Amino acid sequence: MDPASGFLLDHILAIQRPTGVLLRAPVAGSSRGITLRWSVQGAAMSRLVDDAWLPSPPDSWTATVELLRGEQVLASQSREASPPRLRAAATHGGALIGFRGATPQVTVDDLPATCAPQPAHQGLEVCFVEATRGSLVRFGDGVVTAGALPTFEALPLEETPDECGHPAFPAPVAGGILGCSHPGQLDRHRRRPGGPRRAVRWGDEAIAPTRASVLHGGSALAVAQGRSLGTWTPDDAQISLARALPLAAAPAADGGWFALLMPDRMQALPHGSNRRVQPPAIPAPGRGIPRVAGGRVAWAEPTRLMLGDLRGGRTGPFVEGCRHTVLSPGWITFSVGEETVAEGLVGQLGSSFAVDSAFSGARATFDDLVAVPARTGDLVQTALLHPPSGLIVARLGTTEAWVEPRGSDADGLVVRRWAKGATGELARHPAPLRVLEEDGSLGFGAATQAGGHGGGHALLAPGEQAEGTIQVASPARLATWRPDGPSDGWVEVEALGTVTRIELAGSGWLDLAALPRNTEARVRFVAAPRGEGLAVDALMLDRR
Amino acid sequence: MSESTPMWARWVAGAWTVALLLAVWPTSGLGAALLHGWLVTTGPPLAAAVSLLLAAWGFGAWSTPVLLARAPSDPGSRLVIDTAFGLVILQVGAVLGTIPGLLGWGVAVLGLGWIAAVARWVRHRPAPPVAPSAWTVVAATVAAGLLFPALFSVGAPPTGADELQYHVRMPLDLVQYGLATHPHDPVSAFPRGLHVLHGLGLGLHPDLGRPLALLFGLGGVLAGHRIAVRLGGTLAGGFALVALCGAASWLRMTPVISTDVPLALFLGAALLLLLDAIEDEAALDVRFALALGLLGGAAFSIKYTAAVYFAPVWMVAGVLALRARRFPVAAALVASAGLPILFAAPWMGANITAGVHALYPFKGIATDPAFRFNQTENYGAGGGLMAWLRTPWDLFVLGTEFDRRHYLGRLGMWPVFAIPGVLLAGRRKAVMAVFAVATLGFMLWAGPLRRVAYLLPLWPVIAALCGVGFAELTRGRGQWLPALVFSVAVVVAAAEVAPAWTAGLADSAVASGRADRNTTRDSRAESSAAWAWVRENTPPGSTVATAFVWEVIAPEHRVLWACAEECPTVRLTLAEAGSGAEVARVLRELGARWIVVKKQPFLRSGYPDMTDEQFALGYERPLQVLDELLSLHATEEHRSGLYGVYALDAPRQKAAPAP
Repeated sequence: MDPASGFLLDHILAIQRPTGVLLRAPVAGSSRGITLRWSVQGAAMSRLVDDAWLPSPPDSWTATVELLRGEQVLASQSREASPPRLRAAATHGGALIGFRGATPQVTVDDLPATCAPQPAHQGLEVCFVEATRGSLVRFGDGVVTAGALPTFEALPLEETPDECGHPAFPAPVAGGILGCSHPGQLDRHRRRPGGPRRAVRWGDEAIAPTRASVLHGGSALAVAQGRSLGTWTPDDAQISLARALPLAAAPAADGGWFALLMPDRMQALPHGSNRRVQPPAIPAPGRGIPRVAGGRVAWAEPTRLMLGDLRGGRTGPFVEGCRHTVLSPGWITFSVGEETVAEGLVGQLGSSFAVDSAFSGARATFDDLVAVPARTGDLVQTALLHPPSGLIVARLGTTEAWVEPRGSDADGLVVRRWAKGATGELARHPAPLRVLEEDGSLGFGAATQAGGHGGGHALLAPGEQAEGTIQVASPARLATWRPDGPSDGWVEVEALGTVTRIELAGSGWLDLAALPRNTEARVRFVAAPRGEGLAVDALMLDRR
Repeated sequence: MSESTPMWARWVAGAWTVALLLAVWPTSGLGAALLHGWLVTTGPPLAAAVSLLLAAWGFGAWSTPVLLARAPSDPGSRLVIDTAFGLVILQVGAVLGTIPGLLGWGVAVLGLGWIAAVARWVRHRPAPPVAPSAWTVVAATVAAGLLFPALFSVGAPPTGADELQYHVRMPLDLVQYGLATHPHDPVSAFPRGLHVLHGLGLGLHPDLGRPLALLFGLGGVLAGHRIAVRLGGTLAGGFALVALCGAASWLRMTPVISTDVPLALFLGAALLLLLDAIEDEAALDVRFALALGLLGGAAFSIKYTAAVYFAPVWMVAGVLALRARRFPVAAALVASAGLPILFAAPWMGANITAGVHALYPFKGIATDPAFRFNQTENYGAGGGLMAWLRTPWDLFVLGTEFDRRHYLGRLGMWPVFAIPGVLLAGRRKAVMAVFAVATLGFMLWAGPLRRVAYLLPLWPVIAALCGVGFAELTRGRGQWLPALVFSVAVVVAAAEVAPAWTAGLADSAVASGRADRNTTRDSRAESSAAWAWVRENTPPGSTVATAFVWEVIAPEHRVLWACAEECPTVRLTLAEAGSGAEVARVLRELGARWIVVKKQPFLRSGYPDMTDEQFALGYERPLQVLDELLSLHATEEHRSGLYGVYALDAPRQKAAPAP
């Protein structure tokens, strides 16, 4: 790896902890001969090797870090304190709200409501507002849609958890469950519970579970087998031939890139292209499959996690001693020791969760939630973490039925639940109501705060556009949240080959379209060339 | 071709073949490269194995005249017997040398053997060999063709489950740790007579295991051939070679390190001695009894199942002695039957010292059926009296490789065709004696063992009887009928071994150095990714525990709890611990920080003979404890398919508040 000449990210990473704020500035390239010089105005600071620690910082501070080789300043970055704000997240029966100081005034569907105190979390006071699914919970200047996450109740699936002889399969893919006729042969797909299992082929052969991984949100399967590389869905298999694929792990993919971890190098290539990008780092023998999302790739080496930017070429060690990374366009989540950490990749304030999840590699993401296994005492549960708010919104599992995540798709979260020592069963926690955030699966405008789950919104400048793709498994109504703010623009919804333009007006939830089963919809927010711009916030899929 | 083919004709044919090879190979490209690569890659370990057997022969050639009242006149028999006696001497010496930890000096012992071999050759230069009969030449050529892929398989890395579990590891452990049994390494409680012989030769070449296995197998082939020749003449010998090598399981197992095939050499030597005693009653003396005890002891020291095949030899020899009214010899035979206990004493002593069962890796094996080895996998589906009676038909007629009746191999239909002939020839005393040994051995095998691999020590004997049978059926019916039957037999043999033959050819790349040995191993072993992680991420010499893992690919690590089949040792250990926390404590005490685990579901329906309580105790409870261990007291470091590597968590203590 080349010597560092700059930082890995465009901003200083900040993590909110119960007793203060931890600042980090990973460098791009080798840190040999490099030192970091931190300075903070408005708060006390102590150094932690290369990081800076601000114990109980006030509401206002500014931190600066300089990258030095000798006395030469190669680069510098600054970060200001994130403005104190309320944090909120939907739960099954209402919403959790985090705050400092006095308990906020709360309404549910515009009627005053009580916010019941809960145990404090990460230095925040927390209270719970009871509300039915779909109710609007308003607090301060934020709003949350209650019940917008997978239900507590789970529906058993017919597939057995170990039929593939691989811990990641069977798994939800493209609205159904992809499983195996025999261990090691990923060759059966069932679109809906009770339906027939259809044969799956990759060229002329079954897919090996060790050569495949599921894309975020379960939209498709990435496969690299023999000399063929591509994605698979029940309706389509995009296969291209490669020169050679001596992979050290299964391939990873998101909507735009494949990430290929080989014994001696990491490569990425855009879908439909043979032009391979090679981050400027020679991977040490890694472990686990790489992660790719939002133009970034992450892979684990024995002692550290590497992060590379496929567009800018910046690559370097991101963090030491972590396990089980989950990468999304806005967040990177991993386990360190007995805690789970989520760091914002677009400047958001990160969070640490007191969740011991390093023991197992089972992970799933659902919209802006990350599902991780969590062990406490003699129990293994699945904890649903909400990185934008830093709150743990639910724990699934009991002493009799341990639960770990298996995957997710547009219809909800799939878990394995089992009695200790038994194989157990797969079950789906359906999500009748989904609220998609800027920081979640869509990444509209790379907003730095969450919207409908308790934060602000993104603002598109005149002429600017933001778009994202939504997978719909079951029929659903698509709506968008109209925040207060400029509304000079419109929304285009493209589904089943038809583009519908919807003018934006008013506030609150605004219906956009009715989407049929197994649809891929493209939603494009367009700010008018003239005007004040367009405030963009959450989307909702309602199939109640 | 007749037996009177002039010698000059053979020389011409041989010269023509060599000339053709010299002309074709250099121009064939691949052939020349293959030969050169094979010589460079597989040649050295094969040469090491040959030199180990040469040393054995050196010791044996001097000891045979001392041990036997009358040395066999048949040179082939003499070679087998000399080598077997030499191996007995080497084995005893190696075991005694291992006790003070001197096995690493084994090469010095081999050096003495080479000196003995050279001295024997100089002192008693053998007479020029008698030209073999035409039948023998043709049959040997066919046998060589049938076994040809074995030359490639011996150059491949050991990737059989048992090879990876302990056949590769045990010689190294014997050199490093001595004779001691490790109470948490169950396979170290097995008899290791073969592994000390490997250990002797490790100084010559570290990869001599498979070549040595092949030479043991060829010794068995030679023994089987000589038995057939002595029972039914050269025609019987020719048929025996075809039948012996025309069995898929023999071809698959001969180049693979195992403790079964080597027993064939010792059993064959014992039967050749028995034939001597039948032919000349003067040979049926006390020294014969002692020799039988030594051969049986060495075999018993390799694998306790040797008793199944040697017991009939003793029984038949005893009957012979009693019928000849040689009561002192009969008494000596009874006494010599106890000799194998002496050979096994080092292993049993090490076990008792380590606090485990004298014969088996753990205590309590017989106390609860829930933890009996191979409770159902081997015997359940085909167990019982009717299955026992039906075994010959099931095995020889219906049997397929990887058979659902758990024979796990195929030997072909040879005995079915040969039985009438054997019955015709059975009037002869020698044939009757060998037939009795084979039948009794087979019946004993069909009871508790019932796996083709375990039958292989007896296969050369069975094949010899097949040869006798074929010869008996065709003898005296002119030249054409034997030739026709022989030709059909060759075609059948080729068809029998075809899958194993082509599978063996797949080893040609690695055997000739065109494929990397470690890469080949890793591509064949399903646990290779997990073990690669262990090798790359844990310090050499550290202790790694396993659970339900058969393969071990960590030569520089101390491995605990490696197991086979349904892993009763692991299940018992987990059940006795009672909780994941207790297992974690035990492992920490043993210095283990990492655990390699294979996910191993046990289906209730697979154990129909077990009660629910037994299944809960023997299978469900251990998995619950393992689940607790891995979920609550360990952290997953690596995952590859069914295999995971976990790091044992440090004992829970109040964590300091982290910034």
